[in-house]
Amino acid sequence: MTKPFIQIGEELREMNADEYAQHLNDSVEWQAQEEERTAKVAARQAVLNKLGLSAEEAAALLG
Amino acid sequence: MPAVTSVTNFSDGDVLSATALNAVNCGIHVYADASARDAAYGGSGERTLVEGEYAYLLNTDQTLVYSGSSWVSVGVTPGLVYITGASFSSATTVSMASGVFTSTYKAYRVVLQITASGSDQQLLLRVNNAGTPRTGSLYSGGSLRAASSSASDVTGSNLATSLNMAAITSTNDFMGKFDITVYDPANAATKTTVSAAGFGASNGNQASAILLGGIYTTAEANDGLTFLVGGNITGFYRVYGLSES
Repeated sequence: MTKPFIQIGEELREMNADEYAQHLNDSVEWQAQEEERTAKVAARQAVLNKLGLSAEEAAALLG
Repeated sequence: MPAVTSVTNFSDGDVLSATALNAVNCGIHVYADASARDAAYGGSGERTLVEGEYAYLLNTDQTLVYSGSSWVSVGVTPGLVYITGASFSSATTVSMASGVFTSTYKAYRVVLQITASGSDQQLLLRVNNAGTPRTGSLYSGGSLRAASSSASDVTGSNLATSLNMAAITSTNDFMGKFDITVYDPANAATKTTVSAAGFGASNGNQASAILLGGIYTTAEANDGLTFLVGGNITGFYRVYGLSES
């Protein structure tokens, strides 16, 4: 399997084992952050739905 | 150049001495680059480099004069001095080579332009130590994404493994254009801070103005930046030093 590519300066190459391991660690962390962001977006929308407001109306209300 | 006290007017038949010739062997010598210029002095049969020597570099189109300790540009000193840049294509990690940030400048500007993104993803930032990104949980900061719709985002993190700059998208044109300032990165006694303004996407994939501020919370010298995504990006960056005079 081709690993992702890393560019250092002008050199573009496939990640080595250490770099790929770091990338995988990062991906796990980013996935957790993305889930948190998605949850926040969903929670915000749930509140808007409860209030019966559109996003534009909420923005007009909050300024 | 040896300081002269008179300018000789030569006449036919005059004996041209080495002293006289050395006094007129000045002007602006043309060199391929700074290495060729530096190699032209101090060797066997070559003059010792002294204050007042001029040089023109073909590779940078610069005219310089030697101050006695360094070569300085003649004329208007540019406020931004180009340091380096690179283009990248379908890269997951884009890292500057080692030694981009030095003690020459106390602040650097990095212009990052992403022209293609393999997916909708987050763009993250790390600082480099000798060309290697620092991956410790030492980054704190936040970004404000003022979206074209009402769904603007405020994203922050405390002691994370990177700074989250913005969301970027694979479709439309919200792929990320940033003007990043890096403050005193090469100073081992200070904590490197960054600020950025640019354009990208909100978490709702809306066109957004991006405002970012962050800090690497350990006082260490850093010599470059690394940009990371989960997928891949294409684009280019340019690095400039901010002159102090």
